[in-house]
Amino acid sequence: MKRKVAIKRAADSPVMSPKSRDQLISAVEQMIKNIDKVKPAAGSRATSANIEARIAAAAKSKLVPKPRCPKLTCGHLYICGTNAVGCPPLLICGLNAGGCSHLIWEGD
Amino acid sequence: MEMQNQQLVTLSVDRSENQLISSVPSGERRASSYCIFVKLPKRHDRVLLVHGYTSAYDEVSLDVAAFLSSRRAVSKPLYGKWSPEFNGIPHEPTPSEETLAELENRGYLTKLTVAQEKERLRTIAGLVHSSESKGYSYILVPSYDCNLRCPYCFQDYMRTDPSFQPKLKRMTPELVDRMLAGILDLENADPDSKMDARQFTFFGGEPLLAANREIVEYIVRRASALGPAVFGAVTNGTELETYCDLLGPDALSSLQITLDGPPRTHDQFRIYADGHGSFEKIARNIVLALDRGVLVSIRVNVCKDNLADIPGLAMEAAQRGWTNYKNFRIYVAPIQPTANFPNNGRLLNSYQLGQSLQKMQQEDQLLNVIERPDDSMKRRALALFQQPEIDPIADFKASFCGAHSGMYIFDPFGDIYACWERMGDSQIRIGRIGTDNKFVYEMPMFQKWRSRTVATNPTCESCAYSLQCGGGCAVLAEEIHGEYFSNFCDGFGARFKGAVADAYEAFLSEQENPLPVSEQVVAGDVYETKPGCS
Repeated sequence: MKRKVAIKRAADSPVMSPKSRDQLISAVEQMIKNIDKVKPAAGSRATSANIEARIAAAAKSKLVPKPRCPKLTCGHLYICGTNAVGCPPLLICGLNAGGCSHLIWEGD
Repeated sequence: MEMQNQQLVTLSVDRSENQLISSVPSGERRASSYCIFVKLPKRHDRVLLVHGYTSAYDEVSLDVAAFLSSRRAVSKPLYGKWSPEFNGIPHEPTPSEETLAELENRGYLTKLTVAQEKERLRTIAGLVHSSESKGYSYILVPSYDCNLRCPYCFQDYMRTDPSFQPKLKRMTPELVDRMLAGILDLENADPDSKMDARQFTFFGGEPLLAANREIVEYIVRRASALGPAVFGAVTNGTELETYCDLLGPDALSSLQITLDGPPRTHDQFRIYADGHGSFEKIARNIVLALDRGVLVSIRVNVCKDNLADIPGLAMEAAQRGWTNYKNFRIYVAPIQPTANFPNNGRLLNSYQLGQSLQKMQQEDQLLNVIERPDDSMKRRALALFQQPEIDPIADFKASFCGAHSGMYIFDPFGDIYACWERMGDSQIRIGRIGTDNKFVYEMPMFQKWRSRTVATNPTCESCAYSLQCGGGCAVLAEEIHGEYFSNFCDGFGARFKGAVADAYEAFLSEQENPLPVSEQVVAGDVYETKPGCS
């Protein structure tokens, strides 16, 4: 709302030429448009239309053997990250091939 | 109610229901019921939107977030008190058509009704759950016996009530052979199941009692002969020295051991039957396991009684040199209520525990070695921001844990259970090992355990966080609500928003001030193992 007021004030300013005024209004409107843009932060492919296909792809990828974590020599691939509510961290989920989706990649 | 613009949806309040009812005309776009608004503590004019079932994460202006919030049809809280997130924030009446289209594309605006969206969530949860159920993990209980008498133990009655004495028998080699035959049969019957290696976790009672040594070794040997296998144990660590040659990457490669504080505190909680403490014995065995390359995860069970002792334990871990091992980790978990250890106002939920520890960590950096309950959630969110190729949908959880998918727990009697907090009573088993070595299922109980998802209770199916949370622990949900098919939230909404906000702020800071290459974490570090028992 404040922005609208600012634009109106600029537009009504007697010291500004009509051309400058139009340019200012256009610039401010562009600025607002840019500010209001939706900027993807993660899940760039996520849309409401492709959910089923993405779930299928994720399930398929879980069946592919995963690379070993280079930090662990014990043979574990991934470590379960569900400690929050009492699930022990010993469910080494990378070996679980889809049985547990709480994977924490410890190698990065 | 403050109305921002007459062009927007008109909301009215049904006082009897304490629920905001939408009057969005049919076919018009409203805000999805599954929008999550994550406020960013250092960027007050920006908000991170997360969509509960499309798994989109988007940064938007406060104006757009406030606009979206004003278009919500249902604002009644699923639990707790409701406070409008963006009340009083003036915003532009309507974002550009381009922005609206993108909000709709990502799922934040929808033309579906509330009921249609719920149906959509149920469908998605079903697909995710069927994927969850394609893998198996095996929990083995060599015996229900235990040498400690911890006051909060949910199985304590088995050791203290003489009528349960027959329950304390040990698993036999014959039963192990039948169990392994049954496991092969289970896997062979499911062509979709695929595992790099079988995963076995020993649980009890205390699985690694000296008296169990022979049967544990037998299990490791026989299970390894069937193909690649990984073994871990949830143990109190008091008699680990008798397992010395089984500790290491090729046998027992990971251990969860509980310490409830520095020696004085721990020895009040983790006591032997005669009342004496167990800290020093466990501490010696922790070093033994670390030296042999075992991944040792120290779990600290915390309530208000021992919260203030966490710094003492962190100091103990540092002084004893444990924190120098790369295969050492320590984390806190809230003590859950049991019959012997009721809440009485002294228990903390995960959110409260995380907040308390965070505060301590700000005052004392030594405590940073201890992982908070939501650190893993934060790490995962950070990975999503850093690696755009990761699809967050892969992290969706339609159910809370393996009890509702592919976890099989075998006890010394050949009974099979779904949940290790619900064992020892054949009335609640999901099956047993039959005489022909095949699993015989108790179908009503099997179906009950395996069917609990976020789509099987009305609270979770309406919750924006449900596919992130999985509905919470069934046992705790039942204890709180008296209803198995119900929710256990454990402050998840606040924890999720906190973890995602922290991760995003960290990611943005990283972008603004990238670390020099020399300080970046380089994958490839390995920790050394020291062979031999001390």
